[in-house]
Amino acid sequence: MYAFNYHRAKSVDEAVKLQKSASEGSFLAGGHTLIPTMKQRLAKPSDVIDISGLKELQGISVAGGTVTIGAATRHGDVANSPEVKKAIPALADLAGHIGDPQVRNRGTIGGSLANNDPAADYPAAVLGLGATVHTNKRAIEADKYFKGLFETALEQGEVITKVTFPVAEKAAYMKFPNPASRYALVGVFVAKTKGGVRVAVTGAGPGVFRSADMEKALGASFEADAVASIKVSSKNLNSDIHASADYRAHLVTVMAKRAVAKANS
Amino acid sequence: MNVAIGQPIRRVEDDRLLRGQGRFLEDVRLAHEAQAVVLRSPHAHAHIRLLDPSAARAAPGVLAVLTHADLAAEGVKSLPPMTRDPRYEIKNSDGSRMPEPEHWPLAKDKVRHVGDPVAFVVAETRAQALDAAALIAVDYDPLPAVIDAASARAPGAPVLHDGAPGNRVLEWSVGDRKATDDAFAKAHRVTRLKLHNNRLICAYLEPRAAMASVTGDAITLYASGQGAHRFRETLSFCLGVAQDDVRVVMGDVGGGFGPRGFFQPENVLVALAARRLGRPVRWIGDRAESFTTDVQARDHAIECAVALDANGRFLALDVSSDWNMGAYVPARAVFAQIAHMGPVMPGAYRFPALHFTLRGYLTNMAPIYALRGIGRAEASHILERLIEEAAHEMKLDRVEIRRRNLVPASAMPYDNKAGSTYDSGEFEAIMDKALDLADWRGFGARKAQSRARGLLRGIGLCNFVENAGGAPSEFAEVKADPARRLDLYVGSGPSGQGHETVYAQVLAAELGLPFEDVRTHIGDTAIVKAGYGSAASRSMRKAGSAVVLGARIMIEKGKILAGDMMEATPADIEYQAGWFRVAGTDKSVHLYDVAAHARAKGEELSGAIDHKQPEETFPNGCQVAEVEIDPETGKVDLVRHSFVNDVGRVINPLLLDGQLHGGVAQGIGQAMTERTVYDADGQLLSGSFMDYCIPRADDMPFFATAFHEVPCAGNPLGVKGAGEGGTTGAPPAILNAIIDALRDFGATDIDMPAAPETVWRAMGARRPG
Amino acid sequence: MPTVAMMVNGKKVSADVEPRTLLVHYLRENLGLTGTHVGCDTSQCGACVVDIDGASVKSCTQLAVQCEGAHVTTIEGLAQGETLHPMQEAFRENHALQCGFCTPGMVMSAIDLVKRNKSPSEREIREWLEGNLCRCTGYHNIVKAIAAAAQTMRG
Repeated sequence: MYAFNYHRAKSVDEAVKLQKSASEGSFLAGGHTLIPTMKQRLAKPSDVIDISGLKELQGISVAGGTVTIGAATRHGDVANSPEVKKAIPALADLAGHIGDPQVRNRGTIGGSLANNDPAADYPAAVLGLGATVHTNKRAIEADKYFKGLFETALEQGEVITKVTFPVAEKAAYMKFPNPASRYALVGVFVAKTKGGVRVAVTGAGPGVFRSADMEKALGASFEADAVASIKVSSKNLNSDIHASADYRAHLVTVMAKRAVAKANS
Repeated sequence: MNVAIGQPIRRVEDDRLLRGQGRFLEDVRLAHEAQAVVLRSPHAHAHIRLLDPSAARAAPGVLAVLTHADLAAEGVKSLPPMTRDPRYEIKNSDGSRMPEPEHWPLAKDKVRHVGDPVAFVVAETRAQALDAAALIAVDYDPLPAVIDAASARAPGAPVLHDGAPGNRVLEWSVGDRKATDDAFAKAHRVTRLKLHNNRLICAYLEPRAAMASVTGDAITLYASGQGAHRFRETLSFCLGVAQDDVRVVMGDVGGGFGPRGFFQPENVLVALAARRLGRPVRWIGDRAESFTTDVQARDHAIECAVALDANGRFLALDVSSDWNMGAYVPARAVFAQIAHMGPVMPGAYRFPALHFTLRGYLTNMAPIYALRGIGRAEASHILERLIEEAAHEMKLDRVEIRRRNLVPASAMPYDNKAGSTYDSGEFEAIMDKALDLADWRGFGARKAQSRARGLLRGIGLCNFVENAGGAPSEFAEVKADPARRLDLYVGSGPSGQGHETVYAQVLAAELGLPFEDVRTHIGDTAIVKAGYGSAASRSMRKAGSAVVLGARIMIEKGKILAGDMMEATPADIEYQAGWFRVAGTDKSVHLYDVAAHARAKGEELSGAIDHKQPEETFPNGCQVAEVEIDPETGKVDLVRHSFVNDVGRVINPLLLDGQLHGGVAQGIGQAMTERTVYDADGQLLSGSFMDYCIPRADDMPFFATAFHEVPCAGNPLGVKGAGEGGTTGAPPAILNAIIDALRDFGATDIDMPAAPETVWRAMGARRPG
Repeated sequence: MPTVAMMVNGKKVSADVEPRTLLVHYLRENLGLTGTHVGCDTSQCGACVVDIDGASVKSCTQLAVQCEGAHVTTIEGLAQGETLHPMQEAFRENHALQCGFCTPGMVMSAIDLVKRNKSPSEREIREWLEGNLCRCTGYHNIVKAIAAAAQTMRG
């Protein structure tokens, strides 16, 4: 790791100010992306601004058909939250399968979304449920938030403060994990929402994406059979030592089918 | 506590390890340590045109930067491949000697695999050393990379080492070519397969490290290995110093499995730097370095065939393997591969004729070395896959074809025509026991249940015979202390097997004294006089035997001393459970009192032996694997795994079971999850636990194990060896189970590892979806 | 250099540390608590697991400065004198360790599981151990040991 200055911010405003005054400031929440990257000397922030303890970024609440999760809320807290389990069980289920127990004890939703790893789980839930990412400056709809490989709509000086998820009528997430990393080789989140059916796919492409064909088919009939025969094009999908694009394309269909069945069960 | 052979004694090692008081290399701290890092090649194959460490030498905190020029100036020798060492030399089939490619601790002119060490930077702190390493100017002139045996031997292929034209290291064979060809010519059926025994990365949990301190001429190397004395020999050779000037200390070792027996280049570098700086130098490797620069294993491209008569009896076996050896030849690697692959190629089966050729080539990958099951894992893969397909082609029952061809117990001792004489073995009884343990007969019902859940199910088996190492002697010394304790000094090099416990158990049982009396000393050349180390499932047989024989020598000596004390002739003295007694009388004296008597005379009540036992033993067993496969994804779940093993006499069933479990788990890794991938440029793509998958707890079930003891007559304990059977037998059993599940899809083979996509593809056009 | 103060194994400790000091290095180098190991660089092997404020955490992915005011328990803090913690004792009794390098993290992780789930099933134990790699045991005896310890700890 390269040397850096460490700051424990007392508020989001102070965190932003600290970042502004640094030559390269990085926010630290759970640290489960930033610290490994720094350990490999792949990131060289001049200043690390710890926002993990900020009260304003904590907490889970459910009201008026919306689940609100503070950005510094840990995966384990979402997974074990009785409120989330009741309102959007698929979200708790997804959080309970991120990384391993120790990762879930530290990693946060804000950190995961700010990083936008193409194989991360949370982006699938955020896009699949049509959630809104709130920052210190604005509210960003999921459809406008994810910009591809490790890219998001976040700007310099912008900190995720919370995420609001509309409660879906039905939803489920199915993940086929990479056997080594346990990230999603393919993960599919399906949701039947007020605004229609949404299908979000993670792991398969350079970033989380929606499947219009599947959404259309499920809009007509929210049954597993409706997507079973939908072939996803392998063009633009990832190919690596763990899985070819063709296999990933195949898994998208299988996981979508299973997610629908799970949502209906 | 009085103990016996065969008792499940809990380990004495555990208390310290469970309290976090283990002494792994990284836990050792010396005063005034300097910290080192290695600058490594980013290229698989390149000439070094320029290497300028001057900026690094001037960087803050830097104490030294070593390059090959410094090694040359100090007369350091290349790491020895030992292909021409009389103890380990095997000649090519044409009688020629094998090359000895140089392996410099720091690259000379050329790098040959990603991670090859180029410079060694020593500084006050590790961070300073890392910062300085980044300042070293290296100008590489990249060469094309050779990444498999076929391209290594292709005409015009880039040559890695001048001393190894055509990149060839060896071409060795065993068996009768003509008899084999004749048998194939008259065969009723011939089954052929092309197999790849996949390249593995050992991934012991403790990354590599080394530390040295120097006082005057005396060098102390703190190392993590599988035998302190072998490391002492190699370090003294490389530095050109007397063995007496080198002390090697090994504390707790975080997993060995074979690769830890390799004397790594960093051992030389820390010693050299410590000598130059006059202060201790520590190098702690990280996991990324382990992935690129630990010695790796296997990697054989195999063509094999079995000839059968109309009744499914084997007529002949014909095997050839192109071995991708990587960039260098580690000490004894060739010896270990040949000695453990050729002589057990026919395994538990009768082959009237056979032939096996092994060709080894250098490539721009990490060097290959011994890993748990070396040679035998390849042989069992070949045999059991061939037999499985032959049975399928001939529409014979899979168990029946094996039964028809197993070497019967009545044929022992049995000459297997590949250079081994099996002393004992009840292969058919073991297979039957394993089939019962696995409830082979009940499989149909379980398959129906799986089918009802939309899953495929398959079952497979593997019979195997191993040869446990016949390499040199092992040392043990027993000393009785008047303070009522026994000090036991043993030359083996444990890395988790529990030697401190089992040797104490053997000694206490042999002497009839309490287990708690024994203190076992291992892993320090200043304390243990001699030794070889742990490898090839040899420790209990060789070191354990040496413990017994050392104790017996001590008792004979004790009889003389006791005779002295009781005014009797030694021939009249009997020893039992701590007491020397004049036969037929009530005159007796305790062993510890005899020790005091000896001490008073300026002697010692002790017995030492450097026990030579060149004969190999033949542990054997049968494994049965049962899998469920999700036909839509190709994901395989190993749902049952049963294992019956003949390791000879069982010393400690608790620890033995642990060895079997761990061995099976490594076999599961080879069969299902572990894939080492280099790209065409020789870059390692599976270079972290994110990409190289060693099995986790949820990848396997509880194992069912049972023993079938057929004691070996060739050693005082009657043991055969237990460390490697799990790894040898698991992969073919699992592969056969997967193929059994996929038969309806027309699958006839599956590559290792049977990763989900591999299995999904093996289902071919008939797969669902 | 910032000063960080925390409770480690019930003792108050405080030191000036570079911000880039990982908790695991602080424990090992500053406090001499070498039972917590480093087995990888990618937060996967779990040899470094410790307890921070009641939750198991990979101390290789945690800065020491983040632990200001925290209560940290390491493998060295489990036994009561001669008496091993029930989880340690179960590992010993069931031969759940061989080389012992992964063991401290494995034990710390297992204790967190049993705290949350008093009678975990075999499946739950195996899944919980996703973040702990062992190369020696095949996990068989580890799973048995955790189940046995859970029973003991239930009383």
